[in-house]
Amino acid sequence: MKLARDTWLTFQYEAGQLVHNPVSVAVSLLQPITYLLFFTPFLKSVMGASSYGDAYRIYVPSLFVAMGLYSGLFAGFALLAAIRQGVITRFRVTPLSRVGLLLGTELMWVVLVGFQAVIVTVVAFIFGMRLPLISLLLALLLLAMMVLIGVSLSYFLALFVPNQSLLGNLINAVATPIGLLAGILIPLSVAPLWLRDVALWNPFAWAANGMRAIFGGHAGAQVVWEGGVILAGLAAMAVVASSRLFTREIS
Amino acid sequence: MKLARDTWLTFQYEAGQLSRRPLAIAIALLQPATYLLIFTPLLKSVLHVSSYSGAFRIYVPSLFCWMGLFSGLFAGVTLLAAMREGVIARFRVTPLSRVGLLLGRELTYVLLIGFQAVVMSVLALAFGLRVPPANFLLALILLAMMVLVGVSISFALALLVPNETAIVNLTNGLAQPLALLAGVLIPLSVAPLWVRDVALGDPFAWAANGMRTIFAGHIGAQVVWEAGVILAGLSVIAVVLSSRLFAREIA
Repeated sequence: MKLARDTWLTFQYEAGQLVHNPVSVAVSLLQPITYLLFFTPFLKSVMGASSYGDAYRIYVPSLFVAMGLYSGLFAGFALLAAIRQGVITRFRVTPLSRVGLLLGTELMWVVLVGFQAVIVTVVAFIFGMRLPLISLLLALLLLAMMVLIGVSLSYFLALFVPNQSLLGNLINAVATPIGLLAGILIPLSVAPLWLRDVALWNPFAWAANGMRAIFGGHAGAQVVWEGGVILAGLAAMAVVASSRLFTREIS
Repeated sequence: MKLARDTWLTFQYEAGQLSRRPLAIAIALLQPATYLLIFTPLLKSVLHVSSYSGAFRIYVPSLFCWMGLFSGLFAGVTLLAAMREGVIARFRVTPLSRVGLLLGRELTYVLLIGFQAVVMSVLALAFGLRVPPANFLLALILLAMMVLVGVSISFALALLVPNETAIVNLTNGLAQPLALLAGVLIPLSVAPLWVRDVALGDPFAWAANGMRTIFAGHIGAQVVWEAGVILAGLSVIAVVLSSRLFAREIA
């Protein structure tokens, strides 16, 4: 009960900080929108999609996975900045539970990335993508779990490597192969067999397959449930492990 | 004469600083190497190239352009850090010419990116890339000019907007569309016509076309000289403007 309340309080504070900074929220939309507008035409040509609607149905799920994955990159930086500026220290003297502090911040990232995903979907909708509302909700659910994994992983790394430039390179070095092997640029379905075999070990590849099936209109397909179960398990593990580390390092 | 000497002195100092951080140099190689090894097979499938040698001939020039463009992103942030730490202020009290101070720094980036390009080419060579030495040298010259353009723009931005987050976002917002339109992921040659029309306004698209032609073995093709002339003109303008700005802001 106390944990839920502390999580909510921290979430409110963090979300409030975000609302006070609309410019940075808008700027964070630049990169996904750029890829949406300038990469989809390339993909349409090489994947032989007959319309932009089809091309967006292939690319938007990839973009969701990329956003879920890379959100972690920024989360770790923000945590380091908060530690350096003494925000975390000031929270430590309050009776707030440490785990609630972490969970509230993670939830804020879920909401932020979810908001970005909705904007991306609206832009894609304008350019011809059509999707049942229930499928979008299911996709957002998968995305939320991906964000939890990404942010937890990034906090984990940030607490171990409290150096900004090293952390940036490290997170890139982790996220880039995971992202490429999940087919976030060119879908794995056209990849050589050996690459698809390697990708079997990449949970985000399963997530991307599930996400793509949802956008393809097969929300009930087996691959969707497989992706969901894998992500749920991983998200639970990542959140527990990172809150343990956080509690130990911070308090 | 004094300018050349001051440039050389600054270059020596900066290159010395760099060589003392081999770990950072190695980590910076991770991301391009990941793209080279994982993205090329995807590109091979989707473009229906028959051999890896052919696939690398298409992707390595793209990667060169990518590195040339995004090198700028890090350059501005590093300059800001040097200003904050007082490195620039300490150089100001020396009789070093301001322009030499800037040019020496820019040359360090040319060397660093050139080194990365050589490592990437050796890696690609191991997987089947074959390119005559003369063509490779010409590609490095084009790359050097791209780095000069990128770094100069980034330095100018850093001087005008001395805020790290803003500078990263601004550079990203500028570099991503330029890079995508230059076909650094999927070549422009397969893009829809309207994208190719828009890309006519992107100097880096000309550079990428020239670069790809060089790797394809047509060193004397018109597009190579067009790219060279465009890049040479742009880099002269960028270097002159940024050194003027630097001399005014710093002196």
